[in-house]
Amino acid sequence: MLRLPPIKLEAPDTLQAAAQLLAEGNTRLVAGGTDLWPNMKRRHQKAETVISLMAIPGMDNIGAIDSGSKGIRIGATATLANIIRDDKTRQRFPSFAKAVASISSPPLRNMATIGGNLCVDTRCTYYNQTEEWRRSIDYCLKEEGKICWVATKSPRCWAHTASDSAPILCALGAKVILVSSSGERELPLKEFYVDDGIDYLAKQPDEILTELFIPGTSDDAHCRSAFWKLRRRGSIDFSTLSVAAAVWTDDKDVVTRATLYLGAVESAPMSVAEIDSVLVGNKITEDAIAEIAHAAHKIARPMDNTDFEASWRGKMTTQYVTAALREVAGMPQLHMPPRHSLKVVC
Amino acid sequence: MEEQAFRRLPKSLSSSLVHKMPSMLEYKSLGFHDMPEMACYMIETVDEHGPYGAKEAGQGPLLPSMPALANAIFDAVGVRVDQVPIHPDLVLKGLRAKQNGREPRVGPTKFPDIDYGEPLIVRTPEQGGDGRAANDPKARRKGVRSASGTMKERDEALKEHSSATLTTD
Repeated sequence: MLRLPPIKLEAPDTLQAAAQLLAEGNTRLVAGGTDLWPNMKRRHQKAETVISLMAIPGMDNIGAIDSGSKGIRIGATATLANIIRDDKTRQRFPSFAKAVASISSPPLRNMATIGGNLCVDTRCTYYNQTEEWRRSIDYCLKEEGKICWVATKSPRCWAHTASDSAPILCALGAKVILVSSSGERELPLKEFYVDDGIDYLAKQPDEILTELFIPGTSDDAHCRSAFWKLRRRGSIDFSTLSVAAAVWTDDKDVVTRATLYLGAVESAPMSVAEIDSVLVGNKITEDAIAEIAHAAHKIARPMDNTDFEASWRGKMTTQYVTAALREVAGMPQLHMPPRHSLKVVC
Repeated sequence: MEEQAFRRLPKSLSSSLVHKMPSMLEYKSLGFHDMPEMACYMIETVDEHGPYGAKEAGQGPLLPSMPALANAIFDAVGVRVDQVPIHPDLVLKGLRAKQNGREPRVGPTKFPDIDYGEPLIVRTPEQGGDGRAANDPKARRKGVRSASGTMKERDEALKEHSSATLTTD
């Protein structure tokens, strides 16, 4: 049995108090704890004081940005289960609800929060193991060791991003609010992530992620998005590849804006910029989808750092990008395993 | 007995499909989404070796499900996978081999070299033994299996271990 190291747990009831405690150093934030507690039990993350955000009232609110807009704002400690249950989220951003519903299992979704999922630690076969296992390989670059076992000559850590909500929120153009004891700032979500396995967030150590904005544009009726993920089992597993696409069209089905993000490939959600040049100004056709899928496969170079063979994960990029774009375009799906068409069950 | 069958199949199918070494703590078993539908049929027999003709029930679904799964894949796509867990990329590799005119067979081609460890040698009274072990297998294996030490240390210990010879006369 794995046990927690001795820690001091603080649960302040105001954000200012939490920010001040956090600035003291050797501290960590916890919300649902579904990532931090197992990590601390395996001695991945260490802290003298752990600050819980769950006692701060109103930080788990889910609501409209303002009455005229179709966008929504979600407090960082809103649980994944509550986000799926929220009617506004399900109606306005169904693919986001689908991505959240695909995370882990119902008991974990009852505890886990959206802020925690956005900040979830990067993962790797050589990292997410017990302390004894890691000691036997002299640790790895992400923690104390000198060698990255995924790419032994690499100067950087190749742990992959594990958040399932991040790719779809990046595709939808979401923003996050970061609060520290000295102030507050707003950051587009795609700039929140850094492509490095160790320092994977642009968040400063003394900043708290407090809120998430998903903007609702005036052409909202013509925005369609899709989320697909590859994993070994239909639940529980982290994704080994996720694809999030969002496409905005005008009245004549001509694309005005398009985004495509891949998760679990690099240490940050990976943007496939080709979708913009191929689709904008045109209608979505089978040829265009094939071209984008080819471009995504070309830039996605998964490393051997998680379940499944890396080269096979790379090949599957083509299939999953195709599936996501066919869903966006309303075309019938080609042969895909039925369990990958994720259903939102509340 | 039905319960035994229901209880054993998920375990066995997990080893055939999803359980991936090395960490036993991280091992996977099938979830609700992945289990097939299952039916039990009772066949009443008399086992002449069992007490009063009794027969075990739990092992039944445990052993044949892995070969049954491998045979089902062979039946469906003509690819032989000689290892478990059977991952989709292995089947795809077999299909590619078939496409290129090679034998559609994936998996290890030979039995791996395994360190079976030191035998415990106990001589019989005729050989002059007194019931005690003539050698100390644990002393020889020091460092090889221990949880402490690094990979390098263990490699060196293993090398030393295999170069030493048995002392059995």
